Amino acid sequence: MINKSGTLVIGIGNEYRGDDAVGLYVARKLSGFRLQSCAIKESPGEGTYLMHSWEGFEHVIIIDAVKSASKPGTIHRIDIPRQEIPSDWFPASSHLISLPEAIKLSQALGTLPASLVVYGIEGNLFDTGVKLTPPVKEAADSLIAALLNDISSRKENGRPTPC
Amino acid sequence: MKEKTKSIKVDYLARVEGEGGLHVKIKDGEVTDVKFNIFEPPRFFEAFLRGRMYTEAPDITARICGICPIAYQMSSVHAMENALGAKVDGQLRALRRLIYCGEWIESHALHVYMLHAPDFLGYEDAILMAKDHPEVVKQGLELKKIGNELVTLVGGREIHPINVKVGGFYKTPDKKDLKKFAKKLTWAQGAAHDMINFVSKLKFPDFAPKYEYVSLRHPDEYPFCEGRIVSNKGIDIAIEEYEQYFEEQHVRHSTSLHSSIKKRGAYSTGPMARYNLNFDKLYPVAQEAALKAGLKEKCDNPFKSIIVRSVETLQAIEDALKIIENYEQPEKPSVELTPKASRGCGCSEAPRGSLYHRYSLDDQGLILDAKIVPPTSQNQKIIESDLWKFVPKFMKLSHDELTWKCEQVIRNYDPCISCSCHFLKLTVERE
Repeated sequence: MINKSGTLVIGIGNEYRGDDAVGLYVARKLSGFRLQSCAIKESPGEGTYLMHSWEGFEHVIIIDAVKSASKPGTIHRIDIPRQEIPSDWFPASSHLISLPEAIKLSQALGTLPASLVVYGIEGNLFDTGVKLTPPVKEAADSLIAALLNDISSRKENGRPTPC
Repeated sequence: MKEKTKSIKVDYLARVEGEGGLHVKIKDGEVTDVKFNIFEPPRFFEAFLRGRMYTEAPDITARICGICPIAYQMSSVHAMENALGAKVDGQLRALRRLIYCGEWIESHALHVYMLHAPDFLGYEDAILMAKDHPEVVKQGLELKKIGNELVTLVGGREIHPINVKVGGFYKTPDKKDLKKFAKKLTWAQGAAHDMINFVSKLKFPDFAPKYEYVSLRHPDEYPFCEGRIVSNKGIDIAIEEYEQYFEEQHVRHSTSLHSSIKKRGAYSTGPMARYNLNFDKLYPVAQEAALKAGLKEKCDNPFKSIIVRSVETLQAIEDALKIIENYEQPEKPSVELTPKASRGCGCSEAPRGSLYHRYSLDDQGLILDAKIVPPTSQNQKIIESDLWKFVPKFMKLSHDELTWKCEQVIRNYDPCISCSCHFLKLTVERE
């Protein structure tokens, strides 16, 4: 049973589309640490699934690949609802309800977690294949280290801390 | 006379699955051209099925669509079993209907609440609708979730399930898990009645062209995977005869093939066709709910497809509850099949309409060729036909209103452009 007072981490991606899999890569690596008070999920990014997944959680972290014309491997931190999530950063979504739409819909319904942080890692190649490109993998590894600190310090302090 | 030229451009038609475009040309108050353009590149699934084992078809074809993967799995397994002379019945057959119920519930709930209802209520999208009607949207999301959970329970996961195989399943669910799930379906029964009541109060344009409807018809059941292909204009054929009566044509403005009835033309498939051809096979409670919502036993107004989808949602919930009530876990999760050189066809009722598959196999069970005709290919002609008839009738509407209504004409069919080959660009040009 998942304790919803803990942290929920959702890694989003398509494992067969190169750097699009970076969210799944981060989620799988974090799962290996068997973190307490932390639930980890993987998702292809379908919006209604995401909304059902984060409902009731106070602290949610989402990792997904983005295309914002930044340097590949750049990590963007978007703190919802303080910051607005740019809809055009997720052009690869093949879902009717994308992550930005799911966040806006959840806000409208009052079901958005008190703290929802989206980490968008700038992708390089989204072609078919099962390998992350070096700058994206490097960024993912540094984010994993930062998230481990974030989740641990949250457990100690009982509140989320930025990383 | 001074020449007047007006044009409406919508760069992105929201609330449809996939990318395509629409161009309506009006000259001297008359429609002179309608093109439903699909420019998404072809996806070549039929080509890369060649040389794969017959056992791989359900998992490969399920990847064609994230919303209706069960339809692809069901049409492919039935086609393979038809080719290899296998019969899947009893509880395995019931489980196939059960997983299909899950797909209908999730797909219809998504379309009715999130994609179609905003059109009738004047909202640009479900997010804006949710601000004024949060409880309605929450109910829709909960219904969709229950559909997805049912697919997961039988199919292993909600998108691109992994438990369906030619001959049955890899693993069958425990009776106690299904019984436990029935409680959620009991809630969904009430929600589906609310859904029907909600959509019955919407305002519908006065528009009812006469269609040739095509769907499966089964002697005992509202159709899912089996039966004969029938129409209201005399077609009554075995699934194996499909290609004798229906053909696909390439048109310049679409990367998706257009289907038509040979020597007759456009036809409609989907909820409206199923309802008009199978009203007598609905459960009495669904019939009663349909009539109470203002539908008759026949309905030709495509805008009222939102009511029909809601009735079908109730039907699927009732069906799922009945299947679970009678469920006994089978001894074996699948039947044995022996590969042989053969040819087989399958057709099932995807939420959007009939989905036909045909395969040829060699003596080792390798796929020699494949043909897949998705519902959206079949409905493209009728969508264009609706626009030809709709625009002249509503020409007095403002440009913006007419554009919105044209988009709604398309959304009546819940088209899945990704299935047929994403983004819809709409241009209405007036001269």
